[in-house]
Amino acid sequence: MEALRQPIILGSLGAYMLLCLGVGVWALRRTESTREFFMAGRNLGVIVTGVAMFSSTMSGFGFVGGPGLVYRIGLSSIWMLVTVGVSNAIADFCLGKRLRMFAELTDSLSLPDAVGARYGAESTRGLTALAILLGILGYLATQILAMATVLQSLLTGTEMFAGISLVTCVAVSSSVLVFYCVTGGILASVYTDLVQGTVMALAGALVFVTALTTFPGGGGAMIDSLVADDPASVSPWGTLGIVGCLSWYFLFAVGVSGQPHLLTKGMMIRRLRDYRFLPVVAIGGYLLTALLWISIGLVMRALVVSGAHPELTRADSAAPVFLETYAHPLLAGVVFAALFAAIMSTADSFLNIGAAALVHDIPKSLGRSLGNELSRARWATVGIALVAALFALYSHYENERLVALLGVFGWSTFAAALVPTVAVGFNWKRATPLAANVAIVTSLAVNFGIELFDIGLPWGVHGGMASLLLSLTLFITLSMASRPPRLAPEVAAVMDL
Amino acid sequence: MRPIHGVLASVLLVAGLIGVLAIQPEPADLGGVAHPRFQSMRHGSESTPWRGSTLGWAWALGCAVIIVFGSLLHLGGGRAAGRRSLQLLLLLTVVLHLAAWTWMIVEFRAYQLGAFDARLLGLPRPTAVLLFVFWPISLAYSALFVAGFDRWVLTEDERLRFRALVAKRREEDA
Repeated sequence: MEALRQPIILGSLGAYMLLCLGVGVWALRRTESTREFFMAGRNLGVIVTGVAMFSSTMSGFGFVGGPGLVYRIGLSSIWMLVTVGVSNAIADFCLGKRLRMFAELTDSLSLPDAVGARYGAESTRGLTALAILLGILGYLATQILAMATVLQSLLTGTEMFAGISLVTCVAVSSSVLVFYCVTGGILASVYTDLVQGTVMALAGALVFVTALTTFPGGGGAMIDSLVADDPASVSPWGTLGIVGCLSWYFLFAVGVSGQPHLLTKGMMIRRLRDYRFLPVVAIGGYLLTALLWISIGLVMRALVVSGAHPELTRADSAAPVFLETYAHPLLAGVVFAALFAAIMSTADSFLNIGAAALVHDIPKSLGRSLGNELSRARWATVGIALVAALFALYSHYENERLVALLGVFGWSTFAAALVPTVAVGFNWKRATPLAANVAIVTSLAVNFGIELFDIGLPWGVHGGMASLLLSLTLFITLSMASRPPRLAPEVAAVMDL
Repeated sequence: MRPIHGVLASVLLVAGLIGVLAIQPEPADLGGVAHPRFQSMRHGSESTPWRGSTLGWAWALGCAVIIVFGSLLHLGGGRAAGRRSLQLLLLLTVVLHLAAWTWMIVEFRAYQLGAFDARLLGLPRPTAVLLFVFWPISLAYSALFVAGFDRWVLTEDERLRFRALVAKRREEDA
């Protein structure tokens, strides 16, 4: 079986990619309007929506960066995971029902559409779309680069593809992604997410069991070994310290309510009452997947500090090394497919909301309609993927900081820019478009400034937390200081429900 | 006090506590040090920097963060008469969340001063409190959403009022 490890892994990947292409072809026949391309006809069931939501949240970072963080700094990054109960509750109580109502009442095709309807302001719609577009480019580039790097490392281990270049790997992996996103829009995206999420949850559970039995003496001996080397590594804060962990806790718990790819999926659910069980599916899947994050990182750290495994050259190689060395070849095949699934399920969501921002929201905010949006959306999907792939390659060969810089426009920018406007603004009639616009612009400037000028905040406070606190404060105080806005009667009626 | 005032007050409390921390001298090894044997890892500091007033301010910051969560849930949970029981249960969950946080800090204080061998369910005690008490309590917020959906999130009356709104809008559009 060991001799078949490489063919099994590549076979799993090949089968997974064929499945994605098949879903793309299937969804093509069911995508005949922009409403279907961007909103899946607002006809998704609770399981499909829930799995799509958790699989988009857990990107490639969860499968590579997460275990790497645990290996490097101990349990600190668990504070990104223990947010799952609070973050879902805040998003569900503040937004679930209301955003879905706005989507149906105003026939919204995107989050900026709903924001535009809520505030009655095209400027707020446009700035929301702009923040989304800026946020996804860096995020998407890092996902494409991660996908190509993993593919290259797998293929160079074979005789036939030993000399394969990164550019070819970017082209192959992006082509599969673009194919199903272009043909089937968000419908293909959520149904591939369903496959992807299932594979990810299965991989998480299997890896957890494998990891616990890998260390000689089992889980108890593993903890003893880690405590003997460094008691801080298995303390609740790892080596990062309390304030750094708390700032992750805050940013990830509150920030979920500003992630456009998740909120947009919530707008697609078929019936309002289906919302009830959405957290069960989303949280359950996320918890299973998170097992991989924690278990691989801990077991690799324990193996290294106990001398059972040589030191890793890079912390991020914890997961690939574990899979190549300790996992059964069949499990390694499933997990490598799951890794691609994690990356693609995040990337496809970004491609779709990016296309909506480009061909629908930004033109609409400028008072223009492009006409034949479905065809343009397909071209926009190709264009955004191409720009992100070029960013990824340029960054890899010329300027490593570029993607990192754009990457900060990811999670924390979405959080700081959109949480006040969406999570607070949809629950508070007094919120004004001016306050929303100021909050979005300020958070973009502050996040970019902190990264560009490499500003370190005291006591390990994350820059994203600082900008989220600032944007929330500005949003509320400016709204309070302004004249109460006049709401359209139907907007006021929905906000009363 | 309106829910939005609670959100603003709690956000300012978090910002203020970070400000208080910022004007205090920051221990150099607060975020750990390089691992003495392995370049690819970080190592916790030997000087136990999280103690005394430093630990106290960190505890207060954690409490303020939990209060922000509670204030946002209060805002999203609505204030209609039928939702008072939800608000009470949310408040109770916040109190339990704060208690679990405090318990974890107390256990951590003992742990970093040398109680490394004290275990709970096979884990260092503060880590066990995090995984088996603090985390599950935070899941209770979502459990309230699921369990009380028909009563607190979307009542039958609200559903019907919304259907009427949609029907009126479609009529106008037609």
